[in-house]
Amino acid sequence: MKKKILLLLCSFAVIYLVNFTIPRLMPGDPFDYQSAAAGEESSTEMTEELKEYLRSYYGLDKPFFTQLWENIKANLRGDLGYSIHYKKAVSALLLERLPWTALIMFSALALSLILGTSLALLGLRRKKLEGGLYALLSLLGELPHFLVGILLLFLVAARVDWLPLSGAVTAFGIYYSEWDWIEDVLLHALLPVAAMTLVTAPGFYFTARASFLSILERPYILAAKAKGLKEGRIRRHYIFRNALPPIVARFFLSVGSAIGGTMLVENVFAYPGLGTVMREAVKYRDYPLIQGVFLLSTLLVLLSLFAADLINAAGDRRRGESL
Amino acid sequence: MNKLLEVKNLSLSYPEFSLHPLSFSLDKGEIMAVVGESGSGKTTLLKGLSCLWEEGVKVSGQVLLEGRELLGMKEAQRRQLRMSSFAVAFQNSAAWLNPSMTLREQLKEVLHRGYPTREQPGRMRELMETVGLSPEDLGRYPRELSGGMAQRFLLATAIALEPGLVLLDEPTSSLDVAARDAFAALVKRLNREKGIAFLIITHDMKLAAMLSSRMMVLYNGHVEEMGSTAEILDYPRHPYTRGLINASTGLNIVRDVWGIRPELKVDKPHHSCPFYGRCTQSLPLCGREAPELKDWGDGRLVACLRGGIITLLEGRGISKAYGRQQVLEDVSIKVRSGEVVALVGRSGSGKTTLAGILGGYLTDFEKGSLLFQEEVADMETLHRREGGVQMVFQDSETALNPHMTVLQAVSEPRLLAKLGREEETALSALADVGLPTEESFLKKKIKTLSGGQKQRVSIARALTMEPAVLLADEPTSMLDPSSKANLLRLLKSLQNSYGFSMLLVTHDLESALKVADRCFLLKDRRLEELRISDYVSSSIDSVFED
Ligand SMILES: Nc1ncnc2c1ncn2[C@@H]1O[C@H](COP(=O)(O)OP(=O)(O)OP(=O)(O)O)[C@@H](O)[C@H]1O
Ligand code: SF4
Ligand SMILES: [Mg+2]
Repeated sequence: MKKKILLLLCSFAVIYLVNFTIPRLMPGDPFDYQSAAAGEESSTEMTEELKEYLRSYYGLDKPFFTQLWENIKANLRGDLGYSIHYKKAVSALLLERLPWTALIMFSALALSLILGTSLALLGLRRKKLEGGLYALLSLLGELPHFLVGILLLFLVAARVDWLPLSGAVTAFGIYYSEWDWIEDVLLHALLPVAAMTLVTAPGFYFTARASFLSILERPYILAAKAKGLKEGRIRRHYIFRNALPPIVARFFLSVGSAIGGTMLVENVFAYPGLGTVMREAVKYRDYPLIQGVFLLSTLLVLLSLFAADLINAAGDRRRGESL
Repeated sequence: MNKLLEVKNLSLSYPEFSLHPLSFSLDKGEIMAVVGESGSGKTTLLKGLSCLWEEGVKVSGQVLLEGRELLGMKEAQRRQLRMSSFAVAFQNSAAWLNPSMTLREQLKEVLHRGYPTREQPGRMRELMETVGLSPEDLGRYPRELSGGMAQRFLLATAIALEPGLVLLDEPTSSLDVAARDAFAALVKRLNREKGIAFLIITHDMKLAAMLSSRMMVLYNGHVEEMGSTAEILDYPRHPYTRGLINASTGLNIVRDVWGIRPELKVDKPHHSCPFYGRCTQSLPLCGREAPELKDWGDGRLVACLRGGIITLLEGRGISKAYGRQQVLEDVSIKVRSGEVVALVGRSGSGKTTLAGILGGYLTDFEKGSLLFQEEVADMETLHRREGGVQMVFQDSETALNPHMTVLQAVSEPRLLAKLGREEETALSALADVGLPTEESFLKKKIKTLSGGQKQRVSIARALTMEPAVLLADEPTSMLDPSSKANLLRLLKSLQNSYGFSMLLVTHDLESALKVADRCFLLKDRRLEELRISDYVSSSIDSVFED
């Protein structure tokens, strides 16, 4: 346990350092970009003095380690810096966007878990169905999230007029009740979540299937039958209960790829989550923002991996496999 | 009607293994044991009886429990009978418990079928105490149990609703001797007090001996012998049963245990006795015909074409005097197929005389007769044929011609008997007794060999004739303790792998007890069978007790 926490902290430190260093190694800086007058959003051309002033204002002229140290101190205070592009505190920006990303990601993961597990159960009871299911899901699981998003956009959203094409809520929408608002949010989330779920559910199906199959071979399933228990009870208390830990662990293991996937899918649907912020941040070399997004996702992924570890360990312990 | 369980032609087939149709019945309150080596189909039988086989298993026959046929029943109906009429506890206990439920939850699942919620806690406590667990253990998960505790808990579950029949698979495999005895006592008590009948599957012959009144011996999916436990242990009729008893450490405290010899490489046609390749008394017929389990007259069921273990060599009512000194008086002895019989006695008690008579080398005795395979023996021809009688004499100095070479001495018997293949058999016999087979050794003169080497050459000589009975007169008398131990083990291992019967004459009782299946004491001109257990009392079982 101690070892696992230590490992967690170490990985975090390494990623933190990399996260801090990489943007500073990239050629160019935000002010170069802003002053390049590429004709997009910024039209002012900066003088060298102004750039120098800004660099020192943002602390980019200080030595590397001083920057690092100050960065750490600031981060610990909850200050993730100031977005150069959005002209807003990064933490505030992230806090504003994170819920949308989290909504998409966790709904997609939860749906995938339920869908994958149910399909696995179905496959076990209907052997005939299983072959086709297996092949279909193998294929689906290999597709990139954003591609599925684009396909959904063209094949479904474009043809169904009650499905919004972009955003998280209707722009300037007027709601008569809370429920109205919730309905609007759900409608907007539907396609992104569907795109994610279609790609993520197969993984859960395979995990669940493998877990069920291994549990079905355990002697205690036969013992349950020998006890004269009803089938429903056997399924719930003997099969499901023991097969669950790896499936739940998969939920947390999937967070890593799901974060990446969600960010890409958000861009397909112009969904105002971290993904769209990230795109802007990269486009404008907005270091503090890039770092902020990275830091946040890193934290999320590491914590989920840790949770998965805990669940697996608990499952093993329960089975008495490692004490 | 007193029959609880009646099994008719029950058979289960996996693709690689089948349990052949078997029939038996069990009375109310009876305890029966099913014994057999690993893989003999014991657990398979249990799966059949409890209707818990995997998919793809072919099952036929009938299992009647109190007159109701179980195999054809719908599972929904059978479910009502499970635990309340018959219960089963399988081997490898802990794996049979749900890892994510406490013992309380698991016991409750069963109890609620027979007890109102209010009475359950009390009943649980009572059950736990009955099997020797503490009621506090109810809060534990299976992973927190030792093998023995899991075994007890499974028994507690099995008797929870007091079914008439409990089937137990290897109930003591993970227990030490003291715990096993305690378990056996518990089963006995449940049987006596609650009238529960048990079918106990085990490969522990001692457990079977302690508990059961009847016993079934399974081999490779066939029932080989069935009958009263006490009688079977006392006098096994099937060669396989005897092998199992001989291999049981629990029943053989002094004697070395020897496993049944592994299958010889004979091509075994489909229709043959399953024990054909390992049997010490098989006939060519056994390779062509499968024996049926049948009663050979004494109520014992035996599946053997020869009716069970045969008597190879028998001396009846033999009396012998040297001049006026009477040495043997009305002595009878039987040497059965595949066994080692020790003949012990003080120096000068007449052991060599008796061995000489039995071996057919001493022909002038006053009274009595010799039989070989239950017919009057013609010793002359038995000496000269394969599968006959051979003897290793006490004094190898005089038995061997000192001027012969080793090869000559060992090939001589076959040469005289005109059997052919002298050199080939001589070389393999020499290798069997652990002597070199190099040219240089073969050319050595007998007189240049050491005592131990001469002893081995004598044995090799006898082995070349592939005897059915080998008589060895004090084969170890001239040897130091270490060579003696080696030679005894060698003889026993040759006997075990060749499958011949051996009459071992010795004045050394201790070594005799180590290798002999039966032991006879020659004393005051008469022969008396020694029951080894009467002389050796063992306190080994108490080692693990507190
Ligand atoms: N589910 C199965 N499918 C196919 N073959 C099986 C199956 N279960 C057992 N067997 C085979 O049937 C034979 C008998 O097995 P079984 O478990 O009945 O032996 P056993 O007498 O109980 O042995 P042990 O003393 O080791 O428990 C073995 O050869 C085994 O490999
Ligand atoms: S004598 Fe024949 S039938 Fe009898 S056990 Fe031996 S091989 Fe089988
Ligand atoms: Mg078994």
